[in-house]
Amino acid sequence: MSWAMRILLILGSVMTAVYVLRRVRNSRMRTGDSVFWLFFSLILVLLGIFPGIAIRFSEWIGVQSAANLVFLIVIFLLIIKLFLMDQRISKLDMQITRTVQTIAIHEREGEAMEEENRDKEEK
Amino acid sequence: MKLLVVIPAFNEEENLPRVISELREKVPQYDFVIINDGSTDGTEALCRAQGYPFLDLPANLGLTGAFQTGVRYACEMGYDAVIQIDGDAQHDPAYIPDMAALMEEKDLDLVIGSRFVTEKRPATMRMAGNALISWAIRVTTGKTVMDPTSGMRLYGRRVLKELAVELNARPEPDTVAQLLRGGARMEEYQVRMREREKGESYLDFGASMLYMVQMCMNIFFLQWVMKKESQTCPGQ
Repeated sequence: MSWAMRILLILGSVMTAVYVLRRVRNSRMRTGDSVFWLFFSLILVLLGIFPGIAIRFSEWIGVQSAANLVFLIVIFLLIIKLFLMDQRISKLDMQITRTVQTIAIHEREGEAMEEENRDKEEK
Repeated sequence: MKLLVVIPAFNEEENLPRVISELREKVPQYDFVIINDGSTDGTEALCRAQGYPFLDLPANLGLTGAFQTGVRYACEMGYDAVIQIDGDAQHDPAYIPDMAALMEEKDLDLVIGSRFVTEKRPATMRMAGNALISWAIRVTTGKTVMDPTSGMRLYGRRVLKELAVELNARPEPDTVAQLLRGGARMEEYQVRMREREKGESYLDFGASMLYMVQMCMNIFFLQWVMKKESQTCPGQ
């Protein structure tokens, strides 16, 4: 791996980690959600500081250059995140649907009750 | 002190009647509200049939969301304190008046119904987790909480707002640590808890381990990252 790539990796992930921690600090992100990003930056920092890891693994797996292995690892982690987000979206979708339905039903119940009262008063 | 008993309930159809009749019998002076957390059993029908005061969440939010609903409700209805009682009849409401008296007498923000103030913590696997979390809180805040995982906590008005709005606040030990760090005044009150009789606890062994790791991580993590100052209820 080139020096430029190592420095970019380290800088990029340290900045990500700082940004995530600031968001947690300002209550803009849940602690549980920050774990993934901190783990992500940790891995990239490690790869940047110890290029030997990437080189050893790329030889072992049969990837031509260590940089390509770094891309592969990033893609793998992002796919995991995508999958987790997909699950979360499904859950949110279900919750919103249920909530909207409930509001609609309650509104109808309220209207029906009002109509009933009006009918009674008229009589 | 105007106190509200909050009872988060997810599929507690079998245990709720006992919890409520005990509340009405032992502490009729306190208002209570059940938070039906999107139960799939007959919890809602039971609450309606029996005329229990309850908030019906259309979707399952989990314990944190359900508890926060109760705290928000308490804040909006002008209550001064909230105590969480589990819907599975583990907590004996007979302790509430004494806990409330302790809170008023010493001007506290948090009173924990604790199993291990005067009694010794048994040396079981489950309690090892309890001890570990207790240790984490002592290291990070310098304060001793003998029973951090007790769910029976009485929160005073100064911390209610924070619990209602703060994104990372939840009825768990990490939030207790966070409150302590923000300068909340806490004491523990010795209580006895019962084993749950019907239905299943949501924590099996694997989940307990995960819970413990998560709690310890949050306690250390929050200690390091989070802001110290805490919010208070507006106008108080």
